[in-house]
Formats: sequence, C-alpha cells, structure tokens
Amino acid sequence: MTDSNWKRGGNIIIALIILVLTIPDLDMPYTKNYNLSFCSDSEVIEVERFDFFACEIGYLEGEMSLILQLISSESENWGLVDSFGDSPINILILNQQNYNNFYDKENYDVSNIEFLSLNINEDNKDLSINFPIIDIPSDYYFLVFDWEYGKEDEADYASTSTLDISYYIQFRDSGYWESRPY
Amino acid sequence: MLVLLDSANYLLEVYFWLILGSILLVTLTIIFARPAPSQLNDNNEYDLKEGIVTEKASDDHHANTERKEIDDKELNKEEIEEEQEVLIQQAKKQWALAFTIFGLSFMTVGSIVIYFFEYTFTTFFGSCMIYVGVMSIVKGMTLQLSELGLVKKIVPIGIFFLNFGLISLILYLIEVDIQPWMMMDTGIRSSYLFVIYVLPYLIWTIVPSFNTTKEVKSTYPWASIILKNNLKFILFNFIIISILNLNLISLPFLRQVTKGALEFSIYILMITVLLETVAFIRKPKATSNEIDQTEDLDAKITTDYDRTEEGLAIRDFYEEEENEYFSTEVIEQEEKNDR
Repeated sequence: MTDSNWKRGGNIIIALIILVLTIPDLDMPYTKNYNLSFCSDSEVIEVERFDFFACEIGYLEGEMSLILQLISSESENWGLVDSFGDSPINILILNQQNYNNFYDKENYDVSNIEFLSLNINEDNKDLSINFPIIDIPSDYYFLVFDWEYGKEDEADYASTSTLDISYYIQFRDSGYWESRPY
Repeated sequence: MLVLLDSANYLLEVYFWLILGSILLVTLTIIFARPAPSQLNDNNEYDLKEGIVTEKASDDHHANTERKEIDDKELNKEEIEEEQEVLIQQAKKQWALAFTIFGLSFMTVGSIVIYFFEYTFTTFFGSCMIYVGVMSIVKGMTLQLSELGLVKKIVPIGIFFLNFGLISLILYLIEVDIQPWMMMDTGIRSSYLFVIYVLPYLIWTIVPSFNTTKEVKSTYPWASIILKNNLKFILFNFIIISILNLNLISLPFLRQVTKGALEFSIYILMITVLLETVAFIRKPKATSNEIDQTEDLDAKITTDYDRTEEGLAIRDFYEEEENEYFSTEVIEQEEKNDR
C-alpha cells in the first residue's frame, strides 16, 4: 500500500468519524452544541422524561414578534396537558451561555422575562402563545423543550416515558404581521 | 435633531478612523515595498577564500565537452531564473503601490458617498466601495509578504475575518435585519454563505499574486481533492464554533454563519466520502501509481539525468526500443569507418 493510498484511506476514515459524531440527537457531552440541528418552522419532536429536546434558532436581535403553537387538535391538546400532570414541560428560549448552563445542570437565566410565559401547564390550555412585540437582546438562541431534565434523582418514581409534541414557531420583525394577515 | 446629530458624529468618527487606518496601511506598504538596506549599500566586506587553480588535460574530451555544455546550460538557467525573480519583485512592488492607491481612493470616495447621501442605494454603493478599497489595500500588502508556508496559511484566515468584519459593517450600514437561520429560505442561506466564504476567495484568486513558487498540479482524483478540502473546511468551522462556545467573545452572527456552513459541509461530506470510497475501491492501483509518479517527479528527473550522465550502457534495456538503443553506437561505428 503506497503513501497516497494511506492518505486517501485516512481521509475517508476521518470523514466517517466526523459523520458519526455529527449524527443529530447523538448523546455526546462534548458535541452538545455543534451537532444540534436548526429548528424547523413546524415539526414533530419526541421528548423523553428527565431529558430535553433542543434545536438551534440562530441569531435574534431587536424587536420581534413570536408565535408559538403546539398541537392544533383540541382533543390532543387536552391529552397533552393531562399527560403533563405535575411534571410540566418547560419551553425555553435560551441564549448560548444560558443553554450551556442548562446543559451542565447549573443555574440559568432567560434573556427576556416574557420567555418565562412560554411554559405549558394546566393553566395554559390553549397551548398557543403570541407576542406581537418582544424585545430580544442580540444573541444566538436555542429552543429547548425541557421535561424535568436532570431531576431524575428528585422524582418519587424514576420511570421514563416519551411524548410526541408537534410545534409551530415563527419569529418575524415586529411590523411583519401588521402588513400580512396571519 | 439630536438623533441626527449623533448619527452624523458617529459617521464622522467612522470616516476619521477609516482614513487614519488607510494612511497607516499606506505607510506600512511603502515601508515593505522599499528595497532592503543591504541592497543599497554595496560596500559589503566579502569573506574571501584563497585557492590555486591548475589547468589539467582532459582524459575524455567528448565527456568533458558534454559536461561543460550541461554546466553552461545550468548557469544560463540560473541566470534566467534570477532575472525573472528580480522582474517579479519589481512587478510586485509596482502592483502593491497600485493596489494601495486604488484602494485608498475607493475608500475615500465610498466614505464621501455615505456621508453626503442618505439613500439606501448610495449607502450600499459607498459601503461596497469601502469593502473593495480595504480588500485592495490588504491585497497590496500581502504581495509584499513572504511566501513561507506559515504566512501562506495565516493570510487566508486573516482575510476570512477581515471579510466577515467588512460584510457585517455593510449589513449594519444598510440596516439589514439579520433573520435567524431557521427562518431563512435556502436562497438567503446560500447568499450568506457565498458572501462570507466564497466572495473573498474569488476576489483573491481573480487578482494575480505573482507567486515565484511553481504550483504542481495534483493528480489526485477530484473526489479526493474535494474531500480533503471539505475536511479542512469542517475543521476550520468546528474550531470557530468551539472557540465561540467558550463564551469568551460574543459573535452571534459569526456563530450562525459558521454553524450554517458546518451543516452544509456535512451534507457535502456525505456525498464526497461516498464518491471517494467508490473511487478508492475501484481504481486503487492505477490512481496510486499516477500519484506516486507526481510525488516522485523530482526523483525521476534526477534519475534520468544521472542515467544520461552515466551513459546508455547502464540504462535498462527494456526501457528502449532496440533500434533506438543501438542507434548511437551505430553512428559512432560509422564515424570510425569514415575516418
């Protein structure tokens, strides 16, 4: 085997390692950020209890409008709320630093107080949130669905279960929806 | 009114710093473009070594003549190469100054356009002029830099960050609202990747660089070349993202673009690794032979040269046709007969 073949073979092996490392949803502590995919406008995700789902929103800045909706079917909404019970799913929009803190199970903050209203629980049964104007500090943001991530030890029973959630999210300039009916 | 005054002052300050920076760049370029002091002073003391040269009759007149001709040719080649290098250096200096003057004028005109006109188009036009001007000045400066491996590797990275800074400035000046990556369609994403990654590369390759080192064309299969470059691209973006993840500096826009580029390059990697694997499995011997031939080109030239020096007798018989191999011997025999 010649040197050139070794080089080419080495490149192929490195490429395969990179591809394996960047498989979405692969639970690897070191690749906590860069293997995350960008969020879609709407998609169905699977969240496991005592875990979380995260995707990357990207760069946000200034006054924007935010629309967040979960499953459109009413019956499914109620089922979803019931299934939360005493363990609600927190929907979070976190910047880079707070996401890192969240991932490391440390104390984290939110960039805007309005982001705390994204939580879904029994009091918020329509599962739809609409902020016409929300001031977002310039940063890189992540969308996180947290279902008691890191609280496994505190739970009375540590039985894991999964939940399919369909979400729809839109960020636009604050004046966008005034000119276009939604 | 106060807001307008504030923005005017801010623009004036930007203009001031741009002019100051460009004057500094021109000064540096002129310093680099000047001939070295050692070349100006011709009164150097040489380390002379004494020796005796004696004339001696040659044993083999034919061989000595051939050797002399080869030496003369080598000397001529060296002289021509030296002359070419001197000409290239002169051309480099002239182009460096031309780039600097051109760039400075563009920057000045661009700044004036931005300052005096408030239309979106004029702001965009002026910003583009500043962009071209700065890139031109830096191109002029790099012409004077050495062609060492380290400098060659650092310059593209520096150009990437410079280009990124200038594009961010343009986007700021023309008040473009940058959308989050997830909300962009494919066209806008591609535009961002083109402007940040491809545009500086195009500008750099279109403009001549006067490299004295000859580039050897690689005979690696194209899939192999793309794969290698793609791996470098992934590594570059991965390093940037890793640095930004440390939260030492906050550059969210850069994070967004590099993440987008990383995601795109991963898709390309899937295709290229497949193509390269197929190429590697299908034609390993032929391709590797070709590559080895290129890599050992110098060695081959040296070997051929040695063979010529040593004569045909030691050349492998199978390499030559029979008639051609014995042609010189036949000619020599005929010459002897004529005598």
